[in-house]
Amino acid sequence: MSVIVSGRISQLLFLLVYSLLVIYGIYRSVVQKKIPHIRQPAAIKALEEAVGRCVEMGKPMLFQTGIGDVSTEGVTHMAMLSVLGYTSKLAAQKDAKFIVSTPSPTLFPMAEAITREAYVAAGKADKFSVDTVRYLSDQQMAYCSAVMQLVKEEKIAANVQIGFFQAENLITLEAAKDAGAINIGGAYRMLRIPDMAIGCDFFLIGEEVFAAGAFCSQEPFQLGSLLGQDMNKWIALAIIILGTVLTALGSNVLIQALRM
Amino acid sequence: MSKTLKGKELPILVMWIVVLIVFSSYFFGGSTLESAFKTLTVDWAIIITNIAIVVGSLALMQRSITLARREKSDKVDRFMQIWTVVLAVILFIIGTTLGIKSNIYSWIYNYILLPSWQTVYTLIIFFMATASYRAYRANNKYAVVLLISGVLVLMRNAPVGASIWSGFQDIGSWVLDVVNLSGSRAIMIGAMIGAISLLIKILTGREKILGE
Repeated sequence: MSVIVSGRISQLLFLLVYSLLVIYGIYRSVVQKKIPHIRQPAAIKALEEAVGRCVEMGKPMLFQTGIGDVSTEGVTHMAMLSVLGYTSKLAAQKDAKFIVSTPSPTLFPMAEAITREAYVAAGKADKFSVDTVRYLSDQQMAYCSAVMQLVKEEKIAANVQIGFFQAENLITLEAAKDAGAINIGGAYRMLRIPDMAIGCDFFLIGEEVFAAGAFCSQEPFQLGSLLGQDMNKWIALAIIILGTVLTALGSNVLIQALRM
Repeated sequence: MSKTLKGKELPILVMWIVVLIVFSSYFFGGSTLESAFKTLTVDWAIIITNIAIVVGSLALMQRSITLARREKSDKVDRFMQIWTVVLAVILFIIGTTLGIKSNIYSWIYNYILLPSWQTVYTLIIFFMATASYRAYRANNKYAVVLLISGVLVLMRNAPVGASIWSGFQDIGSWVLDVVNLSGSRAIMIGAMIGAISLLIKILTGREKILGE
């Protein structure tokens, strides 16, 4: 009797290989000091420009946390919170008015704690107020209405929505665009990527959302993890090509191996 | 001890335990691990989510009270804040005493909440049109490719497409099933690799969400 559940051996193998490669990337970067040069996505650069734009125009920046609880789509929310920490710190440093809106009661205290901590870290604890992080509604369309009102009323100059979004995605993006704001977004779900593509000025696609924290911090540890990710992608690409060739030749060896 | 509780060590330890149980249950099975997995994902998830909701509600209430106390908030603001709280309490009382299937509660849901919800939802159509108008302007070669593929898929889905030319069905399907699917799978593979990497960074305490 196999110790590992049948059909999951290859999955475990991939998980181990992927994890080891990420760890190797980190080791190479931190211990061996071979820090990889990473091209920074335009959306991350745009965050800094957006904060500057808000300061120049004297208008606030809106950051939306995305919908859903921490218990669902937890990893996406973690990635979003990482960008929130970075953006709120930028806003605090440059004295830009910063508003965070959330439709999730479970994300609300987390977003508040992270934003408050960013303000404290920037030495601007006094600038953080109860108005900074706003819970609007957990009902999707009520949240949309509230964001549309917020965007018009506060005359926001930049709107950031990176993370897990659903039908409210395009509505809030277009409301912000209509108010003259620049939109910076990020989504990994295929359903939301088209929304982001047509509604955003800059946006992160797929794995860039999860790597956003690394792009923001530029620390050797974080950059090393990106190197590990890239190596994993090469492996995935090699398997895809090998699978295509073998299947074209009439062999199903790889398919059988992956189903182990 | 209190320093450990306030620091990031405890959350990381909890995460390690959870991840080990979830992964072990998935890969190695066994009744004990599956029972632990169910306890974590069902019982503890509900408990933690509810605690988070209570914390969120308290923080929200604190914020509302602070805002209501502000001198600069005008009468309309104050009225709306109080009125919405009163309305929420009334709805809560109706829902709990008469039940959510009662006539009055159903009436509120069917004739107030649902139409409002649908009205906002339909805005998506108009926003799709305005956003597509901007995105489909063929001002560079990439936008031209997007425009052509968009028109092909549009003609596949719109009834008028088949009336104009039956070939739109095949070409539109090819764009969706071959070009779109291969691109989306590449994005999904990348995203899952990114998620594994993020998990490692969180488990090692290097992700910024856990504090400096």
